[in-house]
Amino acid sequence: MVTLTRFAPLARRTVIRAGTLASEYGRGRLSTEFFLLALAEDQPLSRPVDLGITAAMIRAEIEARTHAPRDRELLAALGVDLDEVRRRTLDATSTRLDDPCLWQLRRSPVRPLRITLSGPATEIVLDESGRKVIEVAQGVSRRGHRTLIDREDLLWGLLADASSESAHILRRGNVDVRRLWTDLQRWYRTA
Amino acid sequence: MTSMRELAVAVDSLEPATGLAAVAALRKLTDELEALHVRNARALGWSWEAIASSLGVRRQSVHKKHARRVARTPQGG
Repeated sequence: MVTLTRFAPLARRTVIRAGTLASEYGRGRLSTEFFLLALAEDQPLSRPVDLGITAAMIRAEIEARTHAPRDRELLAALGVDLDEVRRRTLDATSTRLDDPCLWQLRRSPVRPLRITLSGPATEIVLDESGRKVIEVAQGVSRRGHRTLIDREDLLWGLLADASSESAHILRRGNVDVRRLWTDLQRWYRTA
Repeated sequence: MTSMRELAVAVDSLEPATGLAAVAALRKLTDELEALHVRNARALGWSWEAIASSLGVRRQSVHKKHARRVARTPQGG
C-alpha cells in the first residue's frame, strides 16, 4: 500500500514538491532527479546527513538536459508571473499548493508497478527509478521500526540505484556518495 | 534552455509549438487555481451548486472533478 499518510510531513512535502517540479519541467514521468532537487530545496537533512550539493547545482544539471522551456518561462512569455499568481492565491485562499489534503499517492490496483502522484493540475506517474525510491524508502523505514517514512529514507531510496539520474547528478557534482552512505547509516542507527 | 527574449518572440510568432506549450502551461495554472479556490469555497461552506454557478459549469462536473480531493482528510491520501 502506498499512500502519503505513511510519510512524515517533511517527506510528504518532498514527494509533492518533486511532482510539481516534474510537472513544471513538462515531464510526463516523475523520476529521481526531481526527488533529489526537492530534497535539496527544503531544509537540511537530519544530522549527520549532508547532501553535499545545492539545489541550484541540481537545477542546472536538470536544465542542461531539458530542451523544452519550463511552464514558468512560458507563462512569463505570456506576461503571467507564476510566483505572483501563486502568492496572491495563497493570500486569497489560505491554501498552499503543496497542502497534503490536495494530493494523493496511489498504486494502481490492476497495474501494481504503476504509482501515480496526483494533485491540483498534476497527475504524474512515477517512472521505474522513481517508484524504486518510494519502495526502498518504505522498506528502510519499516526495517527501522519507524511508523513514518522520513526524508532520509527517500535519500536512501535515491542512493540505492546507482544507475539513476539522481546518482549521475551526485557524481557529476563531485558528491562523495560513499560518505553520504556512511552518514545515512549513522543516522539510521540513531533514528 | 531557451532565453526569455527568444521565448517571448516564439510565443508571439506563427510557430505553433511554443504557443501551444504556453497554452498548455496556462491551462495547468488555471486548473491549479480552480482546485485551490474550490477547496477554499467548500471550507467556507459553499454548496457545489454555488461553486458550479460561479465557475459557469454544471454541478455534476465540478463535483466529479473536485469532490474526492476536497473530502480528503488533512493527512492526505
